[in-house]
Amino acid sequence: MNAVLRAEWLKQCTTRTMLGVLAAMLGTVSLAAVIHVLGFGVALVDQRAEQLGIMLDIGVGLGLIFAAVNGAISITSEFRYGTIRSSLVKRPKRTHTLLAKVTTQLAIGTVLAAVAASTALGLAAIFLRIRNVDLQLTNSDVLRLILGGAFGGAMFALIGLAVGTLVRNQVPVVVGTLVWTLFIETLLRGGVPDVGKFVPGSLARTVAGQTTAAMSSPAVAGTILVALVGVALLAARAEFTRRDVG
Amino acid sequence: MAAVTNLSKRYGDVVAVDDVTFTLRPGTVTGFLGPNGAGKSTTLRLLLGLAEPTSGTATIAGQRFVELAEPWAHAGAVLESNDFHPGRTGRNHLRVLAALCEIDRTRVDAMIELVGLGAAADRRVGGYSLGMRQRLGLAGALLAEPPLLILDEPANGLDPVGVRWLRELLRAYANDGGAVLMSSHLLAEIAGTIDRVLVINEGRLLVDAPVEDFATNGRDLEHAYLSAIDDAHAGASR
Repeated sequence: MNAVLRAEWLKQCTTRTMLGVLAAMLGTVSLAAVIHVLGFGVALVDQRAEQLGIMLDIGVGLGLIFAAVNGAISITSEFRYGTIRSSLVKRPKRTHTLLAKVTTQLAIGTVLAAVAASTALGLAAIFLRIRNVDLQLTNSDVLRLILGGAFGGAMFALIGLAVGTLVRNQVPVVVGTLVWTLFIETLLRGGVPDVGKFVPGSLARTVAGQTTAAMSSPAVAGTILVALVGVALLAARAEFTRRDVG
Repeated sequence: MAAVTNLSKRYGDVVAVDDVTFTLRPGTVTGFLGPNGAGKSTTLRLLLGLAEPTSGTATIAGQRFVELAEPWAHAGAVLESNDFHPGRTGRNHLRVLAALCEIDRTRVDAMIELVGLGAAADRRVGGYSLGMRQRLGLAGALLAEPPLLILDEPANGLDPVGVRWLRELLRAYANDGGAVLMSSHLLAEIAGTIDRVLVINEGRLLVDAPVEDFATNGRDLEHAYLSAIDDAHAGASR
């Protein structure tokens, strides 16, 4: 198992994909910070609730999306480029391959989302200072945004991995991930909050500090999210071990 | 070394492999011939555990490939000439495979030299020619020094010098006791290399014979192969 894990790290580190995802994420977070913190009127950014909402959107939300995309690419690129064949011909136990990917994506998703949240917070602090507005977030808010975001990033990376394993085709998986996280979850949160609070993005945001369209208990939200991820991974394992590799 | 027994694979109503039986012996290069869609690649995938047979068995060293404790030490394979991430260098591709096989990195360097990719090893595979990819695939297959090589169309994309190199490599490998199962359409390229012939058509094995018994009476391998396919079609239409 250690050999499969080592090989999986090498796979992640020997292409530019992860760096590309990181660069795209930092660019998107920075752009979003400029638009939200510098572009909006002072009245929309000077209260704690507004600042927290912006950080949940651009720090946590974008971190979740990029973690999920990276998780999805980690498996779909293997099918896209056929490297899954050369890997399985060396190590045919597919559960081990999937477990190695779970471990690496858990770590990468955590780091990606923590970086997204930290970058958003850092830029917001700078931009607010430029506008002579105080950062109203407490230390506890900041800690929860980063740690809760990191937890959500880990879970979203695994969701991306599970969906990628089930669907295999990279383009639909990445497009589907973006559509789900950017549009469907947003619509559900805004339009049907009783349903929206149970979607993965809301559960992760609840852990990171969201209070509107959210469950009252972050611990319960986190537990439900872990359970969802567990179910998704079990389905992915069943499909990965059952279905032929062409 | 490897045995396929009454192996069948169905995809819905389509029978891709139909009751195929053969064995692979040490020191022998076996050519696996057949038209497009005959079932060659499916048979190789079944042997390597990438697909599950509908019935029958495919074993290497007496066990299903997926059940072997160290499968990489029993067989190496090249199933597609493009099974590489285009953004990864050739050397790093082999490092990933070496990590999977728990093999020292020095073996990676040795394989790169063996297949003649020394100058290109640190370039991204996306810039490789088809022939270079075939060589890289072979390096990966040989990495763990397995006694069995399973190659799907290994001569595709190789120039005449490359084909000669491949022939010499496979002959030397077999002379050292290795077994090779090699599918190919390029009959002229493999004619001087193989010891045994398997001919498959529409999933059914038509021929399993030493090459000298198959291509006799002045017929070359291509003529004998085409006759076998024509006879099968004629038999099916009667």
